[in-house]
Amino acid sequence: MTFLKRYPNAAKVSKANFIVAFIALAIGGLFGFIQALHRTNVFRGFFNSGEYYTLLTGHGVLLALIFTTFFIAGLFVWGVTRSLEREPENMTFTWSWFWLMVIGLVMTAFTILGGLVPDSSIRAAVLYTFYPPLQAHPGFYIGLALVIVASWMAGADWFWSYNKWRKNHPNERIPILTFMALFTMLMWYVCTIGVAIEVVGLLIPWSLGWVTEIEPLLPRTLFWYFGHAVVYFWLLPAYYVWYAILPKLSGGRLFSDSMTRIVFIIFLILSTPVGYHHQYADPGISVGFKFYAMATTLLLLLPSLMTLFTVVASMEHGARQRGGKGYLKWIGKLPWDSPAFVGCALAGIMFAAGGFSGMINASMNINILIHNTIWVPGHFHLTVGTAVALTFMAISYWLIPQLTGRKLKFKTLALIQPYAWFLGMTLMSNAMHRAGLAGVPRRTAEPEYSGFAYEPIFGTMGEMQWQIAIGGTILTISLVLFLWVIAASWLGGEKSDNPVDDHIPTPLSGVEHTPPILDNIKLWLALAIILVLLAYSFPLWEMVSDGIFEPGALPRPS
Amino acid sequence: MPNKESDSEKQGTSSNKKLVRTLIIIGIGIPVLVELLTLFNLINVQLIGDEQKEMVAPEPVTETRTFTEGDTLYADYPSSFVIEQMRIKVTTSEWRFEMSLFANDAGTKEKQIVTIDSLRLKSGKVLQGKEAMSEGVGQGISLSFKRVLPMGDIPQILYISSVQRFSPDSVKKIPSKARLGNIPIRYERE
Repeated sequence: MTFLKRYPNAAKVSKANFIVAFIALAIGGLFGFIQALHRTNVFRGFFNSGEYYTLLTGHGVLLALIFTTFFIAGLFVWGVTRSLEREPENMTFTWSWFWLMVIGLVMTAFTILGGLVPDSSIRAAVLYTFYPPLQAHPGFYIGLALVIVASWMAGADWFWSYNKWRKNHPNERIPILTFMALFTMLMWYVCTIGVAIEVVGLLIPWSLGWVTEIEPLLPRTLFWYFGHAVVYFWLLPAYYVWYAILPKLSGGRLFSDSMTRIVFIIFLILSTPVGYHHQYADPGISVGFKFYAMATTLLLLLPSLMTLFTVVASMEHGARQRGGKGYLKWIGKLPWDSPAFVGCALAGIMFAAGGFSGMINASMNINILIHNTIWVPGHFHLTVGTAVALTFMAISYWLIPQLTGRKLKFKTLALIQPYAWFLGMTLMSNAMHRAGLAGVPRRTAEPEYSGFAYEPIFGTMGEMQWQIAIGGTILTISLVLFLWVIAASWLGGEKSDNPVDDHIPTPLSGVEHTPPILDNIKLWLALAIILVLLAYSFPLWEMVSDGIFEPGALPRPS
Repeated sequence: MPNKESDSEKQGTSSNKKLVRTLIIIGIGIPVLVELLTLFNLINVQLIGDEQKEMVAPEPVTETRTFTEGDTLYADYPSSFVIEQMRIKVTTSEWRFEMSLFANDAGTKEKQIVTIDSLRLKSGKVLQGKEAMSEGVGQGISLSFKRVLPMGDIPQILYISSVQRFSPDSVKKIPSKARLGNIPIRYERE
């Protein structure tokens, strides 16, 4: 019986979230295509350079905040419902957080797109990080606040389900799909405090004119308190898929249940107190706290390396079940003809590359080499742009049939899609990294200077620009393929009681070998809070201690 | 019949294998090649060095004088003008270029005349200029110039002319072309 038949209410909510996610993906992706052609000077006819920043804001917000959040919500509704074997506790509450997220999204998107309307006073070309002194229409900030609050409600919904399940299963271990979702949300609660204070306490009053001035350092610090952990809010659901589903897609079983839980615990503890590595170049923060952030950031390599081991071991197990032999020959026995498997596997491979460039970003001194250059987008298009986005697209080929009761259509196109994404992203990101090393700036419509020529280490600027444009075009084609396959399957796929093999086998080293302390939510949450206090309490206190009317302090009332 | 079915199944499997092989070669092979070439070139340049580049002398960079706020136009002339202010003011509905020139030549025996002939923007568009004359002899001159810009366009070259007296009998209108440097852009709330 499909998930749809067993849990029709949850399936409806999950599908609703995915629909919004895919619409955001389509619009944000289109903006990205236009940007790639514009800033490389391949084609500047769609919009002018002033409007570029509206597109850039739209691209960042719609993809990195909206597509991710809604997809994660849909994924977790599926995962928590399935693993706890119960529908959401109260559908009114569940639908209310969904619709609140949608209202917030519409407000935010409306203010961003207002920038494309001539003579419009509603604008929000503040980029995805919305730093002051860039100021958006109040609707932008209010919309984002609503999305965040609604996401808290979504997390509360899953904790509610877990608490109800716990009453009926007092001695059981937390099912792994629920464990991963709950720990992701705990990390989300810890990290969104910063951005909520920034948006509600500082930016909304400022945008409404209730305060006249804002010193940028405090809002930036509060944003980056949230800003690094948010990348793990995106990444952990990709890990969710790699741990829980990818082994099955490979034909095998998850290598270790306890390794999975340990990784998620480490991310809960370490995701937030690292934010200063985004502010290495900011004045007003002592180098000691930046160093602390660097140390904790480099520690974050550990859970990713553990994931590399566990996931590859699981895939190897699957390949050997399918007849694979030898030290490396087993790789050929993996299901390279399965769109869901291929997307997840290629996403994981690309994440490794993104991790290496991330090590450069994390290291305080080397970071200066690439700070604010296009190297940085090169890095995060490998991580969130592929490890997360491609995983989400790939697993949709496996999830959507379960939610709709329809088989996948156009399987050949679905198979081509992840390979095309991998090709396009390698071309684009490779050139972005090289251009960044030559000093080409990020976040600008026209990176050329008059009377100055960049000096790439090898090759020419022209080659790199064309490589970015071609890579971006291939990515757009891949995106179109994905949207076509999903839309066609959703609306016209062959109905079936068993559209996909949705059985997930138990891990090789199961929960019976997992130490019970790993399920101690309160312990790990307390540790996470302690580390955050160590990283942020003193620097934040310093920033606000000058008093409300002094520089570096809270905004002055008008 | 069973043989025909298994033949068509075999064909389907075989063409699927061909497709997968092609996708792996293009979708994974090309990226791997690109990355290997990048690594090779980086090592080549960083460790082995590029002899040709080392032998060629660097090209001389032509210095281009640019003018910004606080700079003096016609500095070598009897009547000079200071760029008091030069800004781009941005609101939600327009971009506006504002410039004010000032000359405090109390020693002159003439009324001063300065004309902004035109303003050339980065896009190539040219905006109309403006003339200003001092109120009286030796009273200095202040010229305030404001023009609405196309959104996102930046002024690059200021074409200006001023009447200069070189001797009791020699008065000339001297044109000048001033390449503008960084113009601060300031956001204004409406």
